[in-house]
Amino acid sequence: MPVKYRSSPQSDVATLFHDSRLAFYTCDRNGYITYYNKAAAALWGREPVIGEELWCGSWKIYYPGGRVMPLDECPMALTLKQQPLPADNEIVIERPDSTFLNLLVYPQPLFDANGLLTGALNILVDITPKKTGEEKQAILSAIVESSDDAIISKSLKGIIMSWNKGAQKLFGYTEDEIIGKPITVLIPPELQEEETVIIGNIKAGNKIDHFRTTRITKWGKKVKISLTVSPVKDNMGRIIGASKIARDITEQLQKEEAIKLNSQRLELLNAIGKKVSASLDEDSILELITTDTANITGAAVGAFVYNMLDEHGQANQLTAVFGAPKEALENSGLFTPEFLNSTLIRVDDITKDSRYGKKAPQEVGGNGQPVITSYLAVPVETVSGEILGGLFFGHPEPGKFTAEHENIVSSIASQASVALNNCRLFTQVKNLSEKKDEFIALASHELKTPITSIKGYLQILQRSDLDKAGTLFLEKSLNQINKLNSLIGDLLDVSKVEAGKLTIQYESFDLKELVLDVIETFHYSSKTHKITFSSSADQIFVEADKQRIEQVLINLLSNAIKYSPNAELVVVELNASENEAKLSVKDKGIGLSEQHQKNIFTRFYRADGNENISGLGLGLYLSKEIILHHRGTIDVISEPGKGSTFYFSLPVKHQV
Amino acid sequence: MRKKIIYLVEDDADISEMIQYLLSSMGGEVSACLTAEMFWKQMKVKLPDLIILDIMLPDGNGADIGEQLALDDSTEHIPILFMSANHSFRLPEQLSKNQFISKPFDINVFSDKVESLLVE
Repeated sequence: MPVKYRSSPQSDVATLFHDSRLAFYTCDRNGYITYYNKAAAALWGREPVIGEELWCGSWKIYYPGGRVMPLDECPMALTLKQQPLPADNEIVIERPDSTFLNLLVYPQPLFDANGLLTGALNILVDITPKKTGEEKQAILSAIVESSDDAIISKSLKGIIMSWNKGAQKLFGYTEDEIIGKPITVLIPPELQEEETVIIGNIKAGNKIDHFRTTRITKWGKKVKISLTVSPVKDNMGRIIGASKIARDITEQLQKEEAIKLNSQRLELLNAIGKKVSASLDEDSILELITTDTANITGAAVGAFVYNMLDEHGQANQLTAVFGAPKEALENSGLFTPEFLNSTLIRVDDITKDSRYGKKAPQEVGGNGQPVITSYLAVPVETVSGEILGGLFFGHPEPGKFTAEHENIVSSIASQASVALNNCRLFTQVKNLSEKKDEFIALASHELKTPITSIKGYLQILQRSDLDKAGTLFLEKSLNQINKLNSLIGDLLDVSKVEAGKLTIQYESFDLKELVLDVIETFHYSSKTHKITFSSSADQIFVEADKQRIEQVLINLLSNAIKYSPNAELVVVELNASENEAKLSVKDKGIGLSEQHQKNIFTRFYRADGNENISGLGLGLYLSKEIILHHRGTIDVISEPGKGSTFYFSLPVKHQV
Repeated sequence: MRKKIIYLVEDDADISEMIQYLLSSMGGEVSACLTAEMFWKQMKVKLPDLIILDIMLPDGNGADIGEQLALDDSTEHIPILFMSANHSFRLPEQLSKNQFISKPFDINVFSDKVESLLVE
């Protein structure tokens, strides 16, 4: 790009100035720039317009501290105004590309032969690289000085050359004490060899990263450190020494150790917790916990004494033992929950303990058996503070149990308490549920007794001469008695299904015959509906519980009649394929919505909007259970307002 | 034809009374026992043509009594109609020639069973 310089002397000298690496420019008396050379334009990063721009070609100017310098206060302006210059002739300029330069400026006024000011010359010296280097050095020194890590440099002969505050803090020596001393004063006698290896590596130009070792302080205390050693080179690239960064990792190691211990403990507790919570049997929980905990603590003998409550609420002691016979541990007197009184006890030597000394020595099982010396007892409490029992451990050697063991056993004890509490709750629920089933069985038996005589007498009465009203009322009463009886039967059956005690008594019979018998009884009792029957086969033999299948048929037919109050016809079809007999009961009644169809086979479910139709909502639930027990299927197809078809299938019995 | 002798073993007095009425109206001669003990005493006096036996008795179990009777040559032939409020009760194999009726029952079905057992 051609640059137009108004350089009046078109001479070799002018060209020399123009290409000079020394940057300079001139202004006239009024401050307008009259000339600048290539080097000046390069520093400014721009080309000011000659004769138009004032004082300086810089885009922006600052004082060294960063404060903006007004253009008419720049050194050139001050010179031309013949005002005194500041002692510091450094300025900072910003270039259009946002880079900064540190410049030293040397403005000189120019006078004519008469001594009149004609203008000024300004020389610009770029000192930016030098400044950056110095700053870096200062920053580095500050970092080294303020670092918590010990930063030391040493010569190849192992003589300490520099020593920061971190080093003083870590090793105790002051800078004055240690400079000039050999590095080996920091190395414990047994590790002196390490220095040879380190120096060998440094001489070979290798860096040593995060080497974990031990060093010794001024006071002889050993500290765990992580060491990084790098070679230090001179300007010529020769290795002249090493820099060492040492970090105190005592705390870090302790933390690591604690984390390791913690995670081991968690794993252990987790494993025990899994095993224990998988069981609802008290005996196996006690045994698991006793054995596992004894193994963890390294105990020779252990016991878990548990104050169990039996179903009558009577206290009953259960004991699981490890390492010794139950009687022997009981005789020692140290293995009773009364002994605990809700506090944990850990004794290094129980034989020397005044509290228990009377019972010493705690012989376990007589001759040759271990004597309890180390002793650990942990109460097993509920959340509410009730003592369920205790975990007891012993070892013939003193001081076997640590605080760590104490922690673990306490954690296990709380897990045990939760698990045992679950056992208790489970047993309680089981007992209650059994009682409920017993009650329902008893109640239904007792309810049936009066029904039997009522029904008998009503039927006997039916045989006598009655007027029309009497006949009708008797019939209605008998219907209600039958309904009451089937409700009682359903309640008993539901309780059996719940308890898993619904028994199926298989016999082989003709399903067609049974269906016809049941329809026959409906002809007597239902005057409102007509039931039609069709079947493709003469006989369909199934292996099933005849009474239960009859119950299902009665339920489906009663429902068909009950839920089709405005219809007259119920259609029953029975068909057999090679593997199954399929029966359907179709009504033209109120039908079921999709939602009802989904839930109709669940317990106590009743299609709502039918509150005027009586029932407990148990019939279809029981029917489903009965059919499923026979490995059959049961379902419904329905359309609201048009009617429902319930159908079930049973496996057929192949005649041999 | 002589009146058939029927022993009725039922601990509920009302049911017992109702059944006695029913059997009498059918022309039977009924002796009612409220307990197993009374029944065994009665058996020592005379053997009946039919026994109607409730399963759950205060001092015994009808099914056990039935089995005892089946093991004795002198009583083995006497037909028994078992009764229970437990409708899922099933007669054991060795008593299968007898009949069972669950309570409450239809007196027509009851009468039919009694008659069929007496004919045999």
